[in-house]
Amino acid sequence: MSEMRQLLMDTAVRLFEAASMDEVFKAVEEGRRPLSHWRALEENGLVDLLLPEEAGGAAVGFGDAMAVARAAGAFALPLPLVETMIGRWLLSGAGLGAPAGPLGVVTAAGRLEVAWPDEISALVVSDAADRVGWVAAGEFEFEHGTNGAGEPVGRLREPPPIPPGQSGGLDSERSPSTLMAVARAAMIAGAMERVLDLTIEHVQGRVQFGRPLARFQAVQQLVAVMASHTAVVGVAADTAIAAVETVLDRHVGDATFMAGCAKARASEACYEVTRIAHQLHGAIGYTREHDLHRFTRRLWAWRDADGDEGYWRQSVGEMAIRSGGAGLWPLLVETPGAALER
Amino acid sequence: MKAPTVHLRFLPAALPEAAENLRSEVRVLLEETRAEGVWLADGLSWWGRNPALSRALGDAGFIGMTWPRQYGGSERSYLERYVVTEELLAACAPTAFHWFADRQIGPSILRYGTEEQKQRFLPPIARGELSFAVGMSEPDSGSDLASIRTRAERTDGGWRLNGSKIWTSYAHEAEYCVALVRTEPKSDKRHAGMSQVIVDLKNSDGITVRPIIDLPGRHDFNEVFFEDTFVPDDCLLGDSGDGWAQVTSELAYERSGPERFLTNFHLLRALVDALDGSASPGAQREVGRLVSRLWALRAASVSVAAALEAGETPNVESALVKDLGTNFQQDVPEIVRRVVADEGVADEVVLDILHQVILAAPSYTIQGGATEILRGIVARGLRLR
Repeated sequence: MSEMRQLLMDTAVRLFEAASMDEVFKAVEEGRRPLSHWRALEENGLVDLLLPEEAGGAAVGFGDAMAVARAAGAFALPLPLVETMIGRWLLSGAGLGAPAGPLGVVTAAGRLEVAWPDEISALVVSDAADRVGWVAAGEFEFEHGTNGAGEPVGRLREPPPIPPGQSGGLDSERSPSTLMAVARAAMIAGAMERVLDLTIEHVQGRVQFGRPLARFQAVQQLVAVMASHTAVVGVAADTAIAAVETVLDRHVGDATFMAGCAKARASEACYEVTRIAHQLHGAIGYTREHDLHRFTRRLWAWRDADGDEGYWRQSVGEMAIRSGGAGLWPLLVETPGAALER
Repeated sequence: MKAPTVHLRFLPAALPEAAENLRSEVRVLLEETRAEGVWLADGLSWWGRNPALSRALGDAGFIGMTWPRQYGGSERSYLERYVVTEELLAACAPTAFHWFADRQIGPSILRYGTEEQKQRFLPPIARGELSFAVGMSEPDSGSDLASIRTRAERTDGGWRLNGSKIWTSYAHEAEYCVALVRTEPKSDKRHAGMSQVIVDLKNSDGITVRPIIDLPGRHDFNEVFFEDTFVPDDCLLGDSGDGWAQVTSELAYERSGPERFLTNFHLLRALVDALDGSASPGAQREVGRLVSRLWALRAASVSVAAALEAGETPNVESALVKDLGTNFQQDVPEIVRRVVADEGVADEVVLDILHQVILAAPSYTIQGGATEILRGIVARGLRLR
């Protein structure tokens, strides 16, 4: 791991630890506004990590910034940090200034759903791969709902029209749906690591029939399955992020296939990982007294966000069928930028 | 709440340029040899055995790639070997003639063998001329390998073998077999007293090879009986009593390789060929489901390969890749079966391969470490046992 990545990860973890997550969660769970904790994220520059220096950002590489997304997942951060980070960067890439405050992002891949509709200051909208713009709060219509994590969401009937002067073209390498998919996959990976951690802790500490649950072979086998899915989702997210970064650095190629594979795999694994975690936690995991639900409920929400497995499987499947039998293997092993090397 | 502990290490890895550049070399060689009629993709995957293709691969320097030049190798990196291996698998090239020697026996000889053994065995393996079988399991020792009973007793100038080995693929054709045997009686230390010996299958007395026809109806399995079979001193591999440590040290190479998820890639490729732009969204999603899982597995496998290249021994991570990979391979024919039915695919190629793959599928999660054993290894890696 690069020094920058480690530093960012540590900063994010320290902030999330200090943000007294318990309070944030309680606020969310009681339907209060959690965004009082937003300021700490802004003050520490997390929302501007990706922005170029001339735009007041830290010009951090995409891969390094995604370490923060993974940490946000590991803390089930109930704030639109990743959306805002990527939203601001997209707008800046289109030559637009970003409105202050938290942002929502709607892409071609996701459902027409935005988290925290009453809290965000604007909605970043990308209806096509190469255009992005923003619509201020109050200027788009939505219906209130909640996602799997119990967080408020706004359901849009269609992408809202972007007012004149508030949209611009994007380089093809900055496809909003691809970027959001890999970021969400990183968040899922982080949350899964936490769920695995909680589960291991639980089965080691919980004694039944005179021995820890971890001593039962049936339990060991289930934890192994869960750990396997968690590990593969982690390396898939990292590999897709590296592909996106290569595309961004070299201005060549396209990481949609890798991002789609990573998000499809991450969304798919949520079922098995949460199922086993709850099974092994027993009744206590099925309460709001234990922390587990904060992570499993977000996994259920995040697997649907930014393109669920159905969306990305179809996207990947279309690419595979289009490539034909002879092209399938090259599609699987291709690394973006390889064309440049050849 | 602190940051979660990372229990297993899977760092993302990219294959170096030198490795990527080998892809086209392998593809050209396969294309040329296929055009010359040396081999055909008969749907048996790498499990097919074709001495002529192995010789061609040996000539091109694609066997024993990581070994020193003085023993016929080409001193390539493990990641370069990885690319060659996955290209062969993806092309469904029959490589069983040299597979076991290239993957595990050659590396064992290189690591534990005497200078004389290295000079004698490695160059012909690397040329694709010498085929080895692996003698590990016994009729009463499948997953519980430490319970083997075949024994080697000291005699003048060597050892006398008695017992039998089973599931010994291609023992009826291979020149040699490396067998794990007891050189000391069983003791409290389950893993002590075992050794590896190199047995000349063609020129030794007291060897009977009984064919075992497998579920798909093929003959590659055998049971090999040893009755006072003489093994000369110079065919003991490594130190007497170190057999267990020697066989387990190579497991990460055996388990995390691309053969654990590419064995029936030809089925997926044939399906994609049979479908076209008119495929239903449901069929597209099922193809995408398989392709995305395969892509993610390969990312994990490449990560393990990079760890091996860096000199680590990722045994837990390898067990994990083998478990997920072989379960994926078992799902492939079931999912393809549904797509074929739902889409009304009548393509003979797909249907033939599907039929063969359904019959082969039960073996994936048994050979090379059964699923339950692998999950036990992962659980131990997580400190649950």
